[in-house]
Amino acid sequence: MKKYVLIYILLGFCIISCKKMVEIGPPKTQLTPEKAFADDRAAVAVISNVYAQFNSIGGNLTPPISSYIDELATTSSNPIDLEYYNGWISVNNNNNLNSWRYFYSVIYQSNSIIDNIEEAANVTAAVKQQLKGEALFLRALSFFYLVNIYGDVPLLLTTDVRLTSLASRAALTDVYTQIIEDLSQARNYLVDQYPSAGKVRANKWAAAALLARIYLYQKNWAAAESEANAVISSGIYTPLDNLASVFKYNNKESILQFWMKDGYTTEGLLYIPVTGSTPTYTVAPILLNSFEPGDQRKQIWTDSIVQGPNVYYYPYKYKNRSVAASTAEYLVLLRLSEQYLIRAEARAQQDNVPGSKADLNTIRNRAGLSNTNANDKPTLLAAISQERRVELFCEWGHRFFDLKRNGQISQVMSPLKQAWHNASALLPIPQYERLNNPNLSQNLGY
Amino acid sequence: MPLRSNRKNAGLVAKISKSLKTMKCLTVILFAFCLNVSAKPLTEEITLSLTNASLETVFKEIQGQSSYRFVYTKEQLETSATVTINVKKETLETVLEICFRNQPLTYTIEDKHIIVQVREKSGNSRRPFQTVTGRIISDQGQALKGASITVKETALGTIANDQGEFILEDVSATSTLIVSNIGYETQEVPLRNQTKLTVRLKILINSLDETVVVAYGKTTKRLNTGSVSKISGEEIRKQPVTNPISAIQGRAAGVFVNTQNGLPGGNIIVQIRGKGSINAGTDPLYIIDGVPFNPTPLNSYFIALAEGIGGTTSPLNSLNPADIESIEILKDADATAIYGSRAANGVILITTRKASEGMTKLDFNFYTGFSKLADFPEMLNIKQYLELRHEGFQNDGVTPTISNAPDLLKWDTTRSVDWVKYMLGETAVAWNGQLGISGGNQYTNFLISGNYRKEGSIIRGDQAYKRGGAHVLIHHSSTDRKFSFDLSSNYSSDRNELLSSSVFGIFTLPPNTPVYDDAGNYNWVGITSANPEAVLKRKSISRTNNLVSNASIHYSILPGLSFKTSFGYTRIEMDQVMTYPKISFNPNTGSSGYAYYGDNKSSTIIIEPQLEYSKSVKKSNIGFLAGMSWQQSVQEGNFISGTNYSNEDLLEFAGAAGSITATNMYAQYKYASLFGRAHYDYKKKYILNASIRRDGSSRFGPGYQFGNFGSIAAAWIFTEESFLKGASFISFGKLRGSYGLTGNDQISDYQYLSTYGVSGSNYQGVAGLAPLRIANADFRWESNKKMEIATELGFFKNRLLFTIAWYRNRSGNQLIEYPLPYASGPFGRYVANLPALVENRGLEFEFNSAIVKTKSLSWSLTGNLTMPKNKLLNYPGLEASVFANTYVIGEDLSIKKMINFTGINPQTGKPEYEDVNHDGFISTPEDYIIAGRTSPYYYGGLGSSFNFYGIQLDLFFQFSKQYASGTTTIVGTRSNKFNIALERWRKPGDITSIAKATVAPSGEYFNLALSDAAFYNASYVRLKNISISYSLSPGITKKLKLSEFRFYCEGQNLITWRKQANLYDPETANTGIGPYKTIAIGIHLTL
Repeated sequence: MKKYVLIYILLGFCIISCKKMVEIGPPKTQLTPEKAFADDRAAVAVISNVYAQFNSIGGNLTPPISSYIDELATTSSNPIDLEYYNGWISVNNNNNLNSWRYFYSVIYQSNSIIDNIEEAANVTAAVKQQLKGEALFLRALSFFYLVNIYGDVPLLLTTDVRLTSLASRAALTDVYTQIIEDLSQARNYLVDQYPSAGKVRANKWAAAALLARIYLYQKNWAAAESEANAVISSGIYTPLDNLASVFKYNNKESILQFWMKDGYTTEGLLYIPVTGSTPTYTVAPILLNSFEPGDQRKQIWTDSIVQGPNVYYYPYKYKNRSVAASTAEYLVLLRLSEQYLIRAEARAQQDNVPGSKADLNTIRNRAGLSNTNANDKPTLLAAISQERRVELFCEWGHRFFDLKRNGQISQVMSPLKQAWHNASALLPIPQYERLNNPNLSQNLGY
Repeated sequence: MPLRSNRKNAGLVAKISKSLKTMKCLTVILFAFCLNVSAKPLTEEITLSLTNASLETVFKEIQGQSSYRFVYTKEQLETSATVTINVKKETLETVLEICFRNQPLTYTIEDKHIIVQVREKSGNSRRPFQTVTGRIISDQGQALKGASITVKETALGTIANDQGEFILEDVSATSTLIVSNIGYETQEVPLRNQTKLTVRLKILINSLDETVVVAYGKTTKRLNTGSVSKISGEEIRKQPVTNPISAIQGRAAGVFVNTQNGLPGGNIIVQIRGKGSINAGTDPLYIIDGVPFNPTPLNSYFIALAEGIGGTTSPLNSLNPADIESIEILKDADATAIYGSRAANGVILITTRKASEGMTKLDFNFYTGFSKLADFPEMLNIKQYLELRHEGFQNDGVTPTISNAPDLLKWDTTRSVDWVKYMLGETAVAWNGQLGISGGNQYTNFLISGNYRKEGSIIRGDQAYKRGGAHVLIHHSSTDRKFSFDLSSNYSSDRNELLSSSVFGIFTLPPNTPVYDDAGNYNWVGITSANPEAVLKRKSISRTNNLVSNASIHYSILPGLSFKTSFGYTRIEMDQVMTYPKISFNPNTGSSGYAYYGDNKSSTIIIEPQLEYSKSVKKSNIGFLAGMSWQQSVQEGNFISGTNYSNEDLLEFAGAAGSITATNMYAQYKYASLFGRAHYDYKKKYILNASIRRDGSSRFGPGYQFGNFGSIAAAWIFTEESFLKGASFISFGKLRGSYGLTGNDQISDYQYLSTYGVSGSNYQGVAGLAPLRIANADFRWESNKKMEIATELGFFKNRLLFTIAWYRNRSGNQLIEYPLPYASGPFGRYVANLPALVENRGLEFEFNSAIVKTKSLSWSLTGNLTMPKNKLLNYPGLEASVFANTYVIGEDLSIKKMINFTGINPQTGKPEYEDVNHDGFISTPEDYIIAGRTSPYYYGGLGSSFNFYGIQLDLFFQFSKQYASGTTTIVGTRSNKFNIALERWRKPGDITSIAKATVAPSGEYFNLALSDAAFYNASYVRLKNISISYSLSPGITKKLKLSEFRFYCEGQNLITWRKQANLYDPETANTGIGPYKTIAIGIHLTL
């Protein structure tokens, strides 16, 4: 019958072509992993995305952490900022979640590059090696900040969510072992030359400089000295610049900077007030008072604005707050001064007093200060600690980490902040993470 | 009268029959009008006994016994056969039937004349075709214009004209006419050779026989085996709303409508019978005139585009409520399973108004409305606020200084601003106009209407919403009615001006916060979010164009068998510009103005050929439907963000930006299905219905694309049984049940593919590429098993109709966007199936009663109530999963786990909590308890409709019992509070639930936000709609040469009753601007 014929035709048509009818290609705007690592240029775009995140990472980390300790005060009435300033960060603090999230995002992307780059057929061997080195460096860098902010953290070396989503926290020592291994490998993969214009992607010395810092934190004085020494004597970063140009683009002493599209950093924008307004963050009086008389860093790296009866000091390491009319500024992560201070500390710990003094004086002299009076290990260590405070203030949480590694954090902070408690040395694991990973424990006291 | 034919008579007959055959309807209608319209039944009794008699002899015999006279010619009788007849006291009708059986002749009766005619075609001699004329009137004798007359089991049909008259050509003399008219009971009229008839329709007391649109067809409430709620266009048009979806709130059981944002374009979420999916989409499937419509807000493609005050924008907003004929909500397996994999969350069918034949008609409707925010929270005034602040400083032993307390020491302490009223206190004036023209004849008719709406804003400053649209319908059928073609097209274009950032932060500014500083610049001291005036400079302009069109052809292949195919196309485009000028930011935090540009579109093509067959065999009716469907949707989006403008007057133009970042989005979705349905009923008493669908979707990876779905349903109309027939107490009773399997594929496209894409970042001029998702190739359909048992009862001649439905839906194989800790990657989620089972069950009640129904007075009450329960039945490995801290087996999916706030210590005034694990610390999530659920406990609506001599008064109340998270109750810090802060602890011994004021909250205060102290009763009752209208009586309108003239006044959301809590609005909680209250006055006239 006619009707059945029609039905059969319809049925037949559908069965034959159903599969075809729901076939779609990959989305036009996206690339499969093979295409993403199709050639050198494509692979570089993948790692570029990781570097591009550091402006946010720095801007999100440094100002609040500096106000958490004794470097900055805030005039903000935003509860998120006030939690840092008051010394009690709630588990729901969004800024804290972002810090965590950004570093793990770098780790995820680094892992993804490490996983995929080997199989990329059309990427040249040199670029493969370079990218692998950079990815390892970036992973180590992120883990360094995570352990110093949160203590034990999940050590995630894969992109497999079945493992990562349920990972519990790894012991601090295990994370450090991995960091050192990554950096040692990165140091081998990377070469002297920077892979692109300027100093905005990691080279061999960036890995060495970070390694020096890690060894210092690990109290492996010999290794710290040796790595710092290697960086200093590479000759690429000496002599130190004048103070005003330390944060300028491509300056001599920078070992690694992050490229800023518009020639200014988030921090510059945040710290520097416009005429007639109150800065969001002001330099804490205790920090202002810790500069020795005649220290040019106080003049050049801080500035002030007068508002009626009040004078507000603000950090002025970065001097651009909008598209740079003059010299562009890049966000500095690693610079040679820190290496001198690392070597000075490592040498002092190994009782090399003259060597230590020489390094310390290099930094002091550049700031217009005379040679140090310290003459033995304890006084030298104290002098180095003080020097780190005024040299590295408001840079990537240096002061916070130094107070912790020297065991001074509670003693220094408790008198300053009403809400400071014993657990404040470690920030809380963000609530969001704990809700989504039942194996993630909280730091004591939160 | 001479027995033999004379020439004059023969000429008349020839003329009449010629005109019947050839002349057009107008003549025929006039002719029919001239004749006596009421045909008396042929009840005269005849006794005859003849063997092989000539026809002429028989005629003579009959004329001798009756008052009827035959009209014929000699030529006609030449071909006639002889007649053998033996009847005793039979009716004339039966006698004629016998005489004309097997004759090449037929007859018609006009007045007292039996006119003999040559039968048109001898091939169908047993079923003569004839022209039928008639008139449809109400039981009170009024002509029913627009009544529909269709010939059962054929595509033949027509509509009554203004006098209620109709004409149908080529109708089989033995067929049955189905006569229906809105508001009247449908009647079946067997023709039995009559060619002229008058049909009286009874006023419908209830909606039992009203047409209900269902999947791929229509039925009535009486015969429906599934669960369908209908909201008529009339109910929708009584509500002066922009988005038609907000008009269905509270009007259907099992349908929970929640406004996400009350501003024009704001998103409205509809959830049918609860949340079945842990986190796959739970939107129902929207179908507009047969074309699936994607309810996903276009500005959700890129997060930044939804950060304005309006949030995400509902695409359904571009539908004009006045163009809607009805909205049907399909709920159970029987109603939805034919939509297979997309039916798990129910289906909403939106049918737009249809064209009708008849006189050319002009329809005009205009109203103007005044809107304000429906519900303002009560905030502290300056006196209360200052007292609170001073108390806070005192409690903490802190001295107020200029820098920590500018509100106390620097600012004018006499100034008191309620910032909610300041920002959202304007009256939005709306003008809404609609003009339509319709007309045509029974073969071709049309409806074209245009509408325009302009609406001001409740937001400070001058924003406006404008929408214009057109609705076009064309119907055409061939003269034999075998072929028909329908085209419907809805186009609308709107422009929505709003602010490009949220203003929630402003609401809690201290009441004396200065907007300007002493120098006349914007003040930023003490303002974290946005300055109340500066924020007005942040503009959002979005333009949406929306086209929904459908063309269908219908062809009757054989009686009962028809072929139909529809082609649908929808396209929706949204263009957005969001500007953030430098001046609108605290100069300390912003360096340059910026702007976002969005350009998103979504289009769908669908083709659905169908074959339908129906047949009645004795007392059984069977029906089959088979069809296939192929759909392709493409979504495309471009997003540009620009900064560094050389001149910020040009913020609206990306070209003026010094630097721009662009990202793109593209997704394709294909869908192919095969579906079928079978229907069987016996005497309309026992009904069986089964449907099946096989679906393929491109959202799944290879090997997992296809799935099978289906349902079976049965109904028993027990009042048709002999033992209940004629029972006085119960007039209608139906027991029905259904069971079936549906699916859900509401996940993003391409989740099975691991890809990289442009991230929008730029490093040294290299555009960054980022991994876009964590892929999983092994996920498949979420399946949803639906079961329903319901009874529908009618009492007192169906004046009271009552439905109770019990349903149980179980969703398994949960398809979820699994939330991941950020440690696992920047995406925060990936798609996987989860071995979890979610149950939604509940009871639904609907009633509809016509308490009084007379010509001049009517009063009816309607109502519905839903009591839903949601439960996570099963989840293997929940403890070790990412949901361990979110869900609990045996509990509702919407539970909130929070710390148990045990109260305020009467001595210290500080909040205290339960240390659930007794470790000495209050920590999260270790000390969480289940604070409650945010899904409603019960909800519904209650309406009354009253009409007295043309004055119509409608009232509708909507209610919901529910809870919501609100803001924290830390009081004393530099932000204003809801007035429940007045209940705070002040001195030892105070028993209260609000902690003592503090200016530097410590840990136990922060825990307030994580505790059930911030979980509030958000139940409410709203006077959703009140509408009064007056129609001029037909006598007056006739004099004015109008067919309708109506004035009306409507109010929406006029009163809300709710509990005071830290909530701006109980419905939107604190996530969006609440709905409006509106008063509108208008006029409706029809020429």
